[in-house]
Amino acid sequence: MKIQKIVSDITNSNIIKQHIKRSSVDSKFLARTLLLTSVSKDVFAYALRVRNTLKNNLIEEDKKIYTAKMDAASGVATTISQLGAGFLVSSERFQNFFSDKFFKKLDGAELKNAKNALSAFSTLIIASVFAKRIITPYVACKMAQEKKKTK
Amino acid sequence: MNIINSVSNANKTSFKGCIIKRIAKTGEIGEALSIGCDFLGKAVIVPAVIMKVSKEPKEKKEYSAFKNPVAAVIQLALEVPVLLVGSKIIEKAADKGFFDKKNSDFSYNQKKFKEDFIKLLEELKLNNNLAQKIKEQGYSKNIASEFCDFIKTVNNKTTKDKLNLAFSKFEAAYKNQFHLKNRICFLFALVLTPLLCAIENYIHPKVMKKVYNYEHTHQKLVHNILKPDMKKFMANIGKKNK
Repeated sequence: MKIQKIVSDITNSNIIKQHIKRSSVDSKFLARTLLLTSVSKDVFAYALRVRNTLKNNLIEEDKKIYTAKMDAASGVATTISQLGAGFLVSSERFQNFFSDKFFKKLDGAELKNAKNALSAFSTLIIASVFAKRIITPYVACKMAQEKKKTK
Repeated sequence: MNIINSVSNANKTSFKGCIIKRIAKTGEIGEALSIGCDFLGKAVIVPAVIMKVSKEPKEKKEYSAFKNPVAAVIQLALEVPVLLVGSKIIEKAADKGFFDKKNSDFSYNQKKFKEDFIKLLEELKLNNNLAQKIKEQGYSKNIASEFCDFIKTVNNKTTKDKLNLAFSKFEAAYKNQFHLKNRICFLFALVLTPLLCAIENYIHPKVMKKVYNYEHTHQKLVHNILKPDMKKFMANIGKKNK
């Protein structure tokens, strides 16, 4: 019962309640929350991956350093590109432009729902597919090569 | 030609219309979409970009590029069960009122409000079909739109207000529970990240070794079949003639 009290105190704290309420009604807030959760997992994973790669003796020395450099550069590039692209796409101006174009025939609850879905979909696809998977590896490759040249 | 154009235009419009309708009826969006996007990008797009952009030797590039699909599969294999099992556990706890405070307006217990709403519909002897659907499927965007259509048919103001209040509480509790599940599952996934990286680091070199061994043997075989050693071949013919 003590655990239940602690947990319910946390889940009913003002910050959590506000966060949950806003996630239900504010599509921009939800899209950005999902973006931040995705980016934070990446940052943590990349930091661990660099550490683990450098410690892994099963990987050959030259491949090990290159892979670790790629991971470090990817971690930095992915954070910047995903946050930049995600925040840009989830902005009102961007969302209004596309929802006015696509959802002319919808109204009421349907329009609201479509706008919410478009906001989350477009933010996540642009950030975690385009920014993270196309811009990031491109920038990371360049960064890893630059580091190699300077050494 | 005009007929073909108009048919193809009609198809295009209906296809676009279908997509827009699908988007309009999308359910709540959470971690599942994030995990799906992440997997697709990691498994398909990253290796293609590394192979195209990097100027490192082919073997090094392949090694780094292939790391991503392996990582994506491991990540999916770990995150999906976390999301599914975690969601189920949190749902059960929330439906027992584990996350709720006494005398609070804010609730995560969607089961309670679902039952309250069904009970009200049954008491008022209204729309048994909707009550049955909610019993079987729970809350969804379709149910919400069916409720909107149904409430328009109710004439008595007091009944209308009662139904609206009961449904809005059920909807709010469902959404609260959904977002709570997503945030807790995200925390689980974050905590599991070191384990995920450790497993990835353990499996990755082994998978790569197997792939490279297969590739080198395969390449050698192809090379020998397509480009036989002509000197040896001629020497062998010479020996036979002697």
